[in-house]
Amino acid sequence: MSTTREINQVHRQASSVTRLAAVALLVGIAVIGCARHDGAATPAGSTPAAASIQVDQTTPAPAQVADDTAAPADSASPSPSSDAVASDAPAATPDPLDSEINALNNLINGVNGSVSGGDAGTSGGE
Amino acid sequence: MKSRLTALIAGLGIAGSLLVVSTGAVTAVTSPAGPAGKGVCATEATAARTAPVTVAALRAFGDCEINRRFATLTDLSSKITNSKVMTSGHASTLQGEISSTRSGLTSLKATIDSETGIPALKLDIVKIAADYRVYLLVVPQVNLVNGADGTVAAGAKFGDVNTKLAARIAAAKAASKDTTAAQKDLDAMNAAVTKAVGLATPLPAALLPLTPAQYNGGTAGPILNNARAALVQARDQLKAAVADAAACRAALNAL
Repeated sequence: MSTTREINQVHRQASSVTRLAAVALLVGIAVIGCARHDGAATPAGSTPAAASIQVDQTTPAPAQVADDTAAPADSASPSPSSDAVASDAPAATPDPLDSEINALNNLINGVNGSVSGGDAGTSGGE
Repeated sequence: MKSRLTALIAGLGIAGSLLVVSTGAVTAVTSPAGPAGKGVCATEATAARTAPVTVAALRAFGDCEINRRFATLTDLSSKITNSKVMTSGHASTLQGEISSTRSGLTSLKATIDSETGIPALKLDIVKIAADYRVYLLVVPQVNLVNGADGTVAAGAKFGDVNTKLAARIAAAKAASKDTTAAQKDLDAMNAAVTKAVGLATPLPAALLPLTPAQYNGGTAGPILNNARAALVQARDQLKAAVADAAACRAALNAL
C-alpha cells in the first residue's frame, strides 16, 4: 500500500517536473521571439523600400487615412490614432478604396436582379 | 490501408453532402408558389377545362391561382422589407399596394368559395388576373422601383468614391505628378453616375401610381417597358462608372 503511494508520488513529481520544464521552455521561446522581433523591427522600418514609399507618398498616406475617417460608418476613431495605425503597417493594409469600389459591384448586381425581376415575362405569368 | 479507408469515408462524405446540396437545389426550383410558380395550377386548370365543367373544379382552380398570388405577394413584401436600398416612402407605398391587393384577393376568394353558379364562377376567376395584375404590374413595380432606388443609392456611394479619388489626385498633383489620366477617368466616372442617377430618379414617381385598370387600358404597359429600358441603361452606366473608378485608381497607383 505504502509502495503504491510512493510510486504515485514519484509519478506526480515526475509529471510536475515535466510541466515545469515545458513552461520554462515556452517562456524561453517567447522571450527569444520577443527579443528577435524587437531587434528586427528597427531594420525593417529603415529598409530602403519602406523609406522610399514614405518619401514618395508623404501626402497620400495621411490623405488616405483622412479619407477613411471621413467615411461615417467605417470607423469612429479620430485621425491621430489612425495615423499611428497607418505608420505601423504601411504596405500590408489593403486599400479600403479598393474594397469600396468592389462593393459598388454588389449594388450593381442588385440593380441587375431588379431589372430581371421587373421583366413581366419572367415573373410568373398572369 | 488506413489512409485509403479515410479517403473513402471522406469521399462518401463529400458525395453525401453534394447529394444533400443538389436535393436542396431541386426543392428550391420546384417551389410551389411565387414568381417561378407559373405551372403551379396546371392540374387545376386542366380539370377546370375538362367537360363536364364542375363548380368544384372551377373553385379549385380559382383558389389555386389566388393562393399562388398570395405566395408571390408574401415574397414581394419580404423583398421590400429586406431591401437595403429602397426608400421608406417607396417601401410604404408598395407595402400598401400589396396589402390592398391581398385583401381584395381574399375577398374574391370568399366570393369564389361561396359561388354556386358556373357562369358567375368563370367571371370571378377572370377577375383574379384582371382586377389585380399581380404578375404583370405589381411584381414589375416592386422590382423596378427597387432597382431605381438601388441606382440612386449607388450614386451616393460613388459620391464617396469620388471624394476619395479627388483627394488623391489633388495630393498627387501637389507632389508634381501628372494626374491627367486619373482625372479623365474620374470625370468619366462622374459623368456615367450622373447619367445613371438621372435615368433612375424619375422612375418611382412614374411606376408607383400605376393601377390594374391602367394596365388593362393599355397605358401602364408602355410605362413599365420604358422604365425597364431606362433601368437597363442606368445599370450599364453604373458598370461603366465602376470601370472608370478602377481605371482612375490604377492610374493613381502607377504614378
